[in-house]
Amino acid sequence: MRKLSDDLLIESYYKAKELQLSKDFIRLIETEIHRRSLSNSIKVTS
Amino acid sequence: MNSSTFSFKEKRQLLLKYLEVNPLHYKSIIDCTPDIVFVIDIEGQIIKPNRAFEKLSGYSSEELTQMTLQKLMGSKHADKSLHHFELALKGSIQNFDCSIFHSNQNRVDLKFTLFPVVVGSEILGVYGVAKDITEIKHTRRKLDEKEFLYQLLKNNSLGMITTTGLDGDFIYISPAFLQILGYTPDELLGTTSFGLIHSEDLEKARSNLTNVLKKKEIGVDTYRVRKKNGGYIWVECLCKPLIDFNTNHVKEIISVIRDISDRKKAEEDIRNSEARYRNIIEHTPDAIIVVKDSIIVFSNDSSLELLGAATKEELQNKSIFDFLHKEYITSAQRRIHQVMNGQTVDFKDYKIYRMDGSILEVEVKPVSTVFQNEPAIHLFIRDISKRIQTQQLLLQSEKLTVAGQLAAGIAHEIRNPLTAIKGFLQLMEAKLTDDKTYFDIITSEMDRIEIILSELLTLAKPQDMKFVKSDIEQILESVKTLIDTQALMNNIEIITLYETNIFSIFCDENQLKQVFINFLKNSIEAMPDGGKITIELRSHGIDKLKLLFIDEGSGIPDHILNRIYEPFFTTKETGTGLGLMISKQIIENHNGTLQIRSDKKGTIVEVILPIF
Repeated sequence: MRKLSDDLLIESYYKAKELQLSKDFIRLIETEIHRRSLSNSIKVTS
Repeated sequence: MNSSTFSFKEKRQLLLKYLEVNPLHYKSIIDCTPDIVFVIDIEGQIIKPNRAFEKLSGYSSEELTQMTLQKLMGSKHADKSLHHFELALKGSIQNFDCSIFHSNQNRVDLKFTLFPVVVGSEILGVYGVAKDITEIKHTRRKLDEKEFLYQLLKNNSLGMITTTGLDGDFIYISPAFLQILGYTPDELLGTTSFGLIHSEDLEKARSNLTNVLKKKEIGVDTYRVRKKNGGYIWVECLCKPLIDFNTNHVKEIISVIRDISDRKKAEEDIRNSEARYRNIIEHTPDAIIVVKDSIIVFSNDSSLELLGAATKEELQNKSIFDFLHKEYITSAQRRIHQVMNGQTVDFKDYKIYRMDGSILEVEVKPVSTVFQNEPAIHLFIRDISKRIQTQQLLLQSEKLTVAGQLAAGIAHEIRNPLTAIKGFLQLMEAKLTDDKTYFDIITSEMDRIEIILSELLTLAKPQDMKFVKSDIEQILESVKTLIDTQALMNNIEIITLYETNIFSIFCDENQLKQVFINFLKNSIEAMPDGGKITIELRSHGIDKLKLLFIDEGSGIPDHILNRIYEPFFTTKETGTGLGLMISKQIIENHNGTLQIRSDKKGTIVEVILPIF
């Protein structure tokens, strides 16, 4: 997960949401996004 | 002496002459009589002693005629006889007892009668008749001694002595009555002896008296008698009938009565303490065996059970080494030796054979004791097979707890990476457009890992349960609804038999549902050809309920039944091997028990839960 680039991480997030993957998975990605301080980028768009 | 017209010598001549003439025809009578007959002249000289005199005194007739009576009697009684002799000379008849000395110096007791020989108006001398009373005197003296002794005994004996009439009335009582019972003779004499005897012993006393009178033998018995102060003491009464020699009838009864209260009390104490001791020995859960020279001489009830014997006789006189496993014999002998030498030893584990030959693990402690006045060994034997089993179970469950915690830890750690893998895999799948064959396999295997992980987590976290009051019937109904479709598909009918009472229990509803679904699923899988499953609910005791899940499946073979609670043990292709283990855990967390019985006709799962 850490090796994923910021862009790919955010893309994965949206994709997962779109595909309604398991909440655990989405939460996992969210946590990583918060860790990289990228929360703004998903909040703004969502 | 007497005023007389004749001189002494003349008188003597006259007497002699008289005797010559008159009593000749009596001579033979006089000679033959056993009594002494003689005449004494005025001077005291013996004249005409008869044969009896010769015989009793040991002197010849010639010797006697040279003697006086006084001389024969010896100095001690001489005055006495002289006195009587003088009175006789004055004309009165004298009777007295006096002894003479035989020529061999033995004393001869005689009863004398002296009376005057009167010729005309003159007293010329004295007739003497004497009867031998040595024998009578002797007997009398002995009798006196006996009487004296008897009195001494009666008055000083610690025991009470009494004579009673045939009707039991007191005739005599000894002073000991006052000391022991507090009665004076005045209070008792003439009253009946039965008046003193305790009412419960009265019949015994009467029959004892009847017996004594009938058999004329000594009778011994014990009674309680009343003291003057109202208290009772135990006495032993020895009754001897006194038989009249002439009529051969019982005259009266002599009783010797001893105070045996102390003895009775001691006896009772001993009996009580023995009874207590016996009670303890018989009812102690430990097997106790008394062994003398390695031979069993006593065994209690628990030991029968332990050794599998039906009666105590089966164990009696057997050697304990017959029961002992051979590898322990030396150690046992050494320990017995130590105990006999006064050392104490502690419990030690042994293997013993029971009567049916099976081996039992026990612990044994020998203690030295005395049995029937001989040194012996008490063996305390405890069955420890249960304890060993419990220890093993404890160890097992401890192992499981540790394993569970470890598994939960691992499960938790694996969870996140697994979620990530699964998520990205799904993302990947969405992007791919062509062949997706392997994805299904990967996904299903992933799902399986997830199931195992979540079950592992339930196992390790029973504290997460949420207990609420619920109705067991509702839980069962909802479970039934859930499973019904699956059951119908397999041609299985689920029947419910509920007792009318409504049972509320305190439980985590979801967990119980999980358990029941687990059971029902197993049952359905065991019945591929259909059949029926019965769910029974009834009360068990006053505060528990019993739930039965009965199927008509193929049953569980014994070798599998033994292992069904083991973690990761499964016979199903897709099973985790955790289902039953978790079910058991959940039931136990609800303070219940789970039992599974099975044979070829099917399986019965029994759940017992406390009622709320």
